[in-house]
Amino acid sequence: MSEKNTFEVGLSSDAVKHPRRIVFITRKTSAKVKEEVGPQLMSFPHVILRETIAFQFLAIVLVVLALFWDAPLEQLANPLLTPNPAKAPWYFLGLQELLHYFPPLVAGVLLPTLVVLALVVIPYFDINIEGEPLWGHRSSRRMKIYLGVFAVLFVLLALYDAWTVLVPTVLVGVFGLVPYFLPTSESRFLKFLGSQPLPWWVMTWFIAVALTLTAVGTFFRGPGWSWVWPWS
Amino acid sequence: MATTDWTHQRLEQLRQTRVWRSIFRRGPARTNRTRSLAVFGNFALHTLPVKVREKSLSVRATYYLGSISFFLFVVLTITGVLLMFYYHPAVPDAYRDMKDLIYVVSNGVFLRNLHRLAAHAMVVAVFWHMFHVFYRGGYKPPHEFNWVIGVGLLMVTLFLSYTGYLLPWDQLAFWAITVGTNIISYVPVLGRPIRFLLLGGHIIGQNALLRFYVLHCVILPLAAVGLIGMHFWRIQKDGGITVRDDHE
Amino acid sequence: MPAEEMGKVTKRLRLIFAVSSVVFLMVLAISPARDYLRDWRRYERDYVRLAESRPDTKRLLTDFHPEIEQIWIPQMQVVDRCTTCHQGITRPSLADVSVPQPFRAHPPIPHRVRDWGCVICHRGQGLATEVRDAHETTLAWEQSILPVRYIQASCGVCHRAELPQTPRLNHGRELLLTLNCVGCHRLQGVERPAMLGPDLTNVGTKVSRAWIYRWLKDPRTITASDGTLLVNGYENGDEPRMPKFRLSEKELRALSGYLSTLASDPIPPYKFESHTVAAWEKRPDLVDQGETRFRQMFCTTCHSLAVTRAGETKMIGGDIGPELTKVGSKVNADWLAAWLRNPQAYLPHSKMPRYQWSDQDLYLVSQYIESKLTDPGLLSDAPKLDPAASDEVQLGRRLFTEKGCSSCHVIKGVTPQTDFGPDLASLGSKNASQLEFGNSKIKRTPVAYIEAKITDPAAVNVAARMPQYSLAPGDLDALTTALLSMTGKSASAPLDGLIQPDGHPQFRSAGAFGELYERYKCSVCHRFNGYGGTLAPDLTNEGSRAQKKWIAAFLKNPQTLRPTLTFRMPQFNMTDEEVSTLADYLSMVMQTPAVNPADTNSKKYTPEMANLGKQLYEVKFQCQSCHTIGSAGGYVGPNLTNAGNWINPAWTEEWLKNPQSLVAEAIEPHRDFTDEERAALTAYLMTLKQSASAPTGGAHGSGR
Repeated sequence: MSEKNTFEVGLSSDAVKHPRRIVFITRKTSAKVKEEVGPQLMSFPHVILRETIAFQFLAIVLVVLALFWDAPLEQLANPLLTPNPAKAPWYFLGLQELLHYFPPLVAGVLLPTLVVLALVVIPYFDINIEGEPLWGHRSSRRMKIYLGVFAVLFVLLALYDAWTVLVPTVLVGVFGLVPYFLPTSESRFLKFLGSQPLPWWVMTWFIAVALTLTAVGTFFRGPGWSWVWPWS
Repeated sequence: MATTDWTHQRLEQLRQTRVWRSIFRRGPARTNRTRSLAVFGNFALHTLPVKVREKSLSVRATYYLGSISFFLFVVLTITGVLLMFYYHPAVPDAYRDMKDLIYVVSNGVFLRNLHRLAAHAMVVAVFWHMFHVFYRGGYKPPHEFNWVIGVGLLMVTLFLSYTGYLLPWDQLAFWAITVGTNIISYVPVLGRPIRFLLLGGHIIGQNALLRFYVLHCVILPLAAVGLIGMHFWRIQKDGGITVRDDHE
Repeated sequence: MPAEEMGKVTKRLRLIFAVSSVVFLMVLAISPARDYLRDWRRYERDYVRLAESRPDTKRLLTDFHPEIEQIWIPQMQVVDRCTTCHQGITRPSLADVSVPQPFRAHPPIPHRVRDWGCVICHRGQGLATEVRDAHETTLAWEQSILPVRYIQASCGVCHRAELPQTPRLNHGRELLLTLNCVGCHRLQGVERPAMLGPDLTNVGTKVSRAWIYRWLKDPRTITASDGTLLVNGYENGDEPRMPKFRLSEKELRALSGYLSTLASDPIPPYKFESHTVAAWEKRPDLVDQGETRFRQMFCTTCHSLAVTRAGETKMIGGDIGPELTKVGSKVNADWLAAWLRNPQAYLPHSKMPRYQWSDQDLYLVSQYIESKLTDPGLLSDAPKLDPAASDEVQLGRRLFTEKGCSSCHVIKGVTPQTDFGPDLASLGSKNASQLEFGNSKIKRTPVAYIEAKITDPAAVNVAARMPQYSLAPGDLDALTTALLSMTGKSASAPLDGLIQPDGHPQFRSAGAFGELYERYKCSVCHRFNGYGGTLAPDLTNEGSRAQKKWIAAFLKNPQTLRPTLTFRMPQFNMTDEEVSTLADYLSMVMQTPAVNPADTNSKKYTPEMANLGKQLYEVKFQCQSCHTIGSAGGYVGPNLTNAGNWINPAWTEEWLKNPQSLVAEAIEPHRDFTDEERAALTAYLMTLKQSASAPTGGAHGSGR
């Protein structure tokens, strides 16, 4: 995949001499028309057996955990007695952490809606079917956009003191730049980074931020949403 | 070996009985034809393809995350139905039922632990599954729509977990839901009506508990079952799961 | 791949499947096994073993079922599963201490365990069937078992009226009142009284800034120069109500400065005629005469003095008013005379009676107090304080509110605070998570919190506004018990009858009697229809008991009564008019329907009857073994020398019928006199009259 794409595009304005047509040839085709080859196995018993084993493994792990870990139960609900902090279920703590930094309309409504929309449109917007690496062209225009977006994000997050968003953003952003400056590195990790396309970087950034926010919200937030160490 | 033969013989005899043959019309799955019949002649298995590519069965290709998500759903359904025998969606009976479950019902603690654990695990598994599929490029054509269904399933999973969170009616439940539903009210114009609709009132009380209960036990599971069916169906129709070359 | 290979499964996969299937099935069996081994099943098996080892096995195992037992009281929303393990609770033969817990029988109490369950009194989680969850504080149930020393708190949850079986709770409730807790906190069932601490509107006219400074610094450690711990002074055991506030030097100066300037509405100093004063001043025994008057007026019935005899200092006198040993060094002379004349002019709520003073008495007594009851070294450890600067006064005025002083003390023009401290009306049902422990090292339980807060508020929170109380041993437990009994629960239907109206009935009267009753503060010592003090006899039935003439004579000159007693009725120097008003009212109104004067009015007590009575008194019933007549007889019962002038014959007859029907605590034995004997004894007693006009007999409190 590291080879350069070669397009041959012919375009003529003389419709009589050359009936108008576009020739678009790529060396690789989309998954839709790709012929699948390779050895095949019968679903029965192969899939059935493996799925059953998977189920049993899962059940064993669950049952053993359920024997030693008790589901939490606190006191009877009391609307007059607000715990400090009142926390949402863990998978919403990322959101709650965002609410700590940004106005509720942005953090509570706009951002989650955008995330869901983004997830839905991923397959329709990813035109880079072949997975061309981010710095495949080493294009300076791309670099300018990249740095521009990065700078805007940085300033915005710093402005709102959103450190728990800023830190993973900077980390992923810096990692994204490394393959650009070290394109010929022999390190396997750098080679791996260098081969990743833009959507990969966007998703990785999203996951890094989401994981950080959730972890911080779950373990590092105490009364008044202040920072606490979970071990103290 | 003699015993094995004997067992095989008995098994063979069983397979020849009228009752057995009325349930499983095919013979023993010893040829590819009967193996195929075993899959699409079976209601539970008919969404599976008859044949799969060998490399798609490797653990590293999928980590069985989709299956595990589904199995968790099954575990949750079973434990959930059992829990429903002991639960009243009422204030404060709901909390009292938790106590009875813990202190009186045989295996009640285990049942509740299992349900809670599986619920958390399902959220994790579904997220993980989605990220994994993304990194494998599983959303690419022709799987676009199945990805969208998957996003829908993620939403349903989160909502299932969230509605279940209120049911014990303890402080943890009450305030977690309070925090969550307060976020809804930030939606411009529609926020407060939506919250009112969800809670059946302006505060979390008896009405909210009942609504969350119905959502958790009827509406959302039905939605999940429908979407899961479509999801599985589309895997087969879209030509099986995506397997990346680097995991051959 | 050949077609037939497509369905072959490797041996390894088969093995994995086999192993995982076995493990899966095994793991599924763990929970049911664990369920069978739960605590309560073990305890039930132990109980059966215990029962089998005892002689009454069969009885111990009747009604025993190997399952979870519960006591269900729907009206109280109680489900107690305690008896699942505590199997022996209702089986008397297991009462012995040698029976191991949890099987020992419950000690006898007024309630039946089966009717009330356990958690209503002991708290804890009755629903639980696990040892830890039932007894201790858990995340899901913060009310742990109540320590046994506070168990009376649970009685107080329902029984708001005093019970004889709950001395600790009663003591605690009394302490809550006497310590003025209600000044800052809202308490369940305690009304805020009209006066908590003294009115300070004019305190600047009464005491010096140095005294205020020293008092604020620590009211409990003002020491007399002879080493006696005195304040105002209170003796060691009898603490002042005012607690110690942790005030800085600056705050002490500011507050004392502010308070010493307070004189917005002073009582005018009493002006003696200057020439008469000059005449009194010439007397060499001026102060001694003052002391004599002080004693004759029986100030010590309410106030105590430190008296040193044979090298031993003792407090002598009553505790209704403040101790006065060094009061001359505390209060200003002009203020003292004005105060003695009319205490209510300075403190409207004062309990001190308003005496009828002659100018001479007033002058003598105040001279005695100002010159003899003094100690020049009393304030030796206070710094030298100049009159307060205006910035100090400003700060002091602010601190007066900020420190909560205005919760108990009134100053005209300063808004009083009624909710300075937290509401404690439901403290007993609070969970640890509802209490502010801060960073303190205190165990996170409500009981530990209450104990710590009472003992040392600063230990809970360095910036605590709550002052420091010094408590006698036992007070801490009593107070904690009383606080734990305040659960904020309103009575539910079955408990309505237990909850009695708070406070005491008041006895008030209007008109001329009412005025005198207020002036002389009769109810501070005497009881009227269940209201008032207990120092002196109950006057509820005085009109039935005593003759009007005797009452009048007694009021006029009470000091000849009971010459050996310290606590005697003070001489108020009442006018004749006042005496007759009081005697009229007491004899006409304070009567009991049990004694009907008409029964005896028609009777004629003949000398023959009196002679028979004398015989009965001396020979048959030997009354003289307890009662004295003249100079002979016992001291257990009242002196009857003047009975004929003192007691009403109707009362006497009724009394002889059944003494306890008139005075419940009377110790006189209940004799079965015949009607004739009763009449004869009464006739005899009515002949006993002292020739002198003054009543005597020391028998005012007959039956006591």
